[in-house]
Amino acid sequence: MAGLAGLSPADANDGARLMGVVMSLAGEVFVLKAEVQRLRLALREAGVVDDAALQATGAGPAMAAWMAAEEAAFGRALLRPFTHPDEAPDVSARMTQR
Amino acid sequence: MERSAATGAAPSRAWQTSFEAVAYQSFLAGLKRHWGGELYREVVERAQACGAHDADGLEAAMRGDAAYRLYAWLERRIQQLKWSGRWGFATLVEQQRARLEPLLAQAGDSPHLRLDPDLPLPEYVTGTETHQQPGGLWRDPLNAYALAWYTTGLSFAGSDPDDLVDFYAARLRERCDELGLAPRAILDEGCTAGRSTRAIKRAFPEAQVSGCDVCEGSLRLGALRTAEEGSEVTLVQSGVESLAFPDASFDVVASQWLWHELPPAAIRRSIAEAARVLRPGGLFAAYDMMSAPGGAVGRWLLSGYAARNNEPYAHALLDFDWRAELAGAGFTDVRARYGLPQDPGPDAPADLPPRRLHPMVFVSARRAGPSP
Repeated sequence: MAGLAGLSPADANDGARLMGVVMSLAGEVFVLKAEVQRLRLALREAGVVDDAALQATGAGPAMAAWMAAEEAAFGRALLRPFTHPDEAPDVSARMTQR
Repeated sequence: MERSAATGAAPSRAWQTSFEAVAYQSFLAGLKRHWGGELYREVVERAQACGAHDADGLEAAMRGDAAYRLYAWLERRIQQLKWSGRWGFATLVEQQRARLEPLLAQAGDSPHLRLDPDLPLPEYVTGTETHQQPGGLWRDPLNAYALAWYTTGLSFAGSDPDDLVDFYAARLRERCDELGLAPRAILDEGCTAGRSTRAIKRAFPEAQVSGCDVCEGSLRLGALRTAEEGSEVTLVQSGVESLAFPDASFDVVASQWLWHELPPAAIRRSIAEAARVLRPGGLFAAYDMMSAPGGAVGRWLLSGYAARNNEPYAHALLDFDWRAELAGAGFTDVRARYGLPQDPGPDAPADLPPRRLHPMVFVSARRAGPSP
């Protein structure tokens, strides 16, 4: 049963499919960035949070602690699929056992 | 026409957008600019240096090139994402079906519209999903809204769509003036929602201007838009291979962006039909991608575009001998002029432009006989 869909690393279209997933994700990221920028502008225009306050928060210890924890976890999670494309063991060889 | 209660927009523009949709389409527009700029130039440079001298050789030599693979992937997929992504135009229009469908139905009473519910659609229309639009423009009348929304920004050709149709209409006006032709009746073939037809009417306010197309939804949307703009054109459901007009009923028969969507045999039949409905001495014109500057690399890029954007006959148009075909159908004074808004010509560039453009040529000819 070798070559079952989803288990075959030689699936010719995987690269194109994954590229599609990456681009869909990029689209979501772009929209998210736009939403963050919209919120920042709205807060600034409403006088709630100005650039100086954002700057101060960004340089503060609470943000620095979050960065330190997040940067490693984020990088590890983002890149794991490259080195571990299939987290579950391939047990399909057992299917031929009688 | 009443404005939409939901959006305040006129019926032909009554789709409801969102901040997220605008941001998503902006993301795709940015990708497209990269595709048609920096990435395109890299591909051209590598292709010119690879040593191959025809389209097949270039494809074989460049297939493993990372820049070309990305260029080809983006050429096909950006378009798909524009239609079908989470905030794609087809996706969003489908979500608004209940509100938009009745607006298209309103157009049925329009004096600007003449539909033929029994018209058989050509197989090259129903089998192609042109521009990768899901269902093309024929399967569902509502698809016309998706295309109209799509063309509110830059077209795939990188042109403002109004600039392009005004350029086309100006070329018609120019040619008629050269010939001393004052047309009383003009037909715009393959008009979709009549943007080009209304541009012709602006250029020839004294003429009766009609547009024809096979797709009902586009014509319905076009009738709404025509009323909103206060234009006087008539949109008729008709194929170009068998025109729903009497013999010798027009002084000008023209089309833009039509020929590349027709197989050569259909173009040939449409030329014969144009000759039938033109008065002796009348003007025929077709504005389309009839050349590929840049030699083999230009042809290779155009054929790739044709395949990847579901415009499978565009490549054949490069080899269509329109001079001989027009002469064979009784046309004389056959002329050609290169140009598009970003590069008005009239001479075609020898080399590829620094960013991806559609090379457009305005072909014209006269039906034999005295001026009408």
